Amino acid sequence: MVSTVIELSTWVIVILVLIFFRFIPREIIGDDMFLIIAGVTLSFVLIYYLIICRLFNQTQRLYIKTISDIILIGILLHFARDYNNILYSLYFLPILSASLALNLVNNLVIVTVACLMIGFEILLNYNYDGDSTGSTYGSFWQIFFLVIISLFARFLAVQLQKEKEAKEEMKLEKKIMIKASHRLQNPLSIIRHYASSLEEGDLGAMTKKQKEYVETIHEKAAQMIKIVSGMIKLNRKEEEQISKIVTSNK
Amino acid sequence: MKILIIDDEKEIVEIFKDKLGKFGHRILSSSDGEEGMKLARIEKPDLILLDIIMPKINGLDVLKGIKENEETKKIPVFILTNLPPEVGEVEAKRLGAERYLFKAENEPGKVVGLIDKLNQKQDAF
Repeated sequence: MVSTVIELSTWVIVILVLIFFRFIPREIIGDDMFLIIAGVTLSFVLIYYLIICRLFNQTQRLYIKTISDIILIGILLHFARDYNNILYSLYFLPILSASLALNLVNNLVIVTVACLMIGFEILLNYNYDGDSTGSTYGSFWQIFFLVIISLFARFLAVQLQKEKEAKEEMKLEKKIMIKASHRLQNPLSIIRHYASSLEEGDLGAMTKKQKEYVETIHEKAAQMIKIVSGMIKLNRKEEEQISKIVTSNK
Repeated sequence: MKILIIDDEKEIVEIFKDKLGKFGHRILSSSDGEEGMKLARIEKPDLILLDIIMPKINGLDVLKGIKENEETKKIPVFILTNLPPEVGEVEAKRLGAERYLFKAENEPGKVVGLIDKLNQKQDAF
């Protein structure tokens, strides 16, 4: 069920991306180039869902994802180098997604490859026409930007993950606390019932001193029950507040 | 009055048996819900004291079973449990419980008083 939804949404995204490509001016992506892009994209998705998804396990699919990310970066970089600016921003997407998914190896590989590609292109540019200093500086700036964005996304993801874990841990603690309090409630109420029965003289009259002792037991049991009940109520309230915060943040 | 106590905790059953017996009530008891429902059908008690947290089948399901059965649906049921009222009371009342008593705060003496009140109410009709 979930995989069907994912597959369908992938197709929708692919079609939307292709429509987006059609709106890019013809000087940047010509008709021939568009057909090539459409063909490559569609065949890749088809191959992915018909072959890769069925035959490979998760780790292998991860490798394939890394390789295709690198290819994608290469293609985007190629366009970006030729026509600058607009398309340049697109190759942050795989980097961002790898950073946010907390996949360190994937992230490092993509960033390194992207940086290397930019460096490679700088070298090529430098060799072909010696006076293109402006774009060379621009390229170094791109590497800097790329690393910063990636680091930022990674820190953000790590922080979010930590917050989530802390919240879950707190919830678990509260749950354990409530359970423990409930468990205490049972023996405490039995002590209270028995003491009250003795106090009311159900098992015969007691001396004054005996009665005093039993009264103390009764009173203290009732006190403990009150404390435990208070703890449960407090926990419940806090839990409700936490769940309110969590749901309002969604 | 014939009273059936359904509770898995034998100390609770014992103290209520003693206390209620002292006030002239006849007490039957069962330590699990399945058996309790059967006993209710056979003995037709005047009142059932029912715990919620029990092994096998929980008290709310027992209550539902009692209220769905033609023979036992008129028997008043007092829930006597350590599940806090804010968790179980609404559901128990919805299923037809007469009263919801929090075990830790309702001592046997107090429960006797409540049973007397129920008796007077029934006599008035």
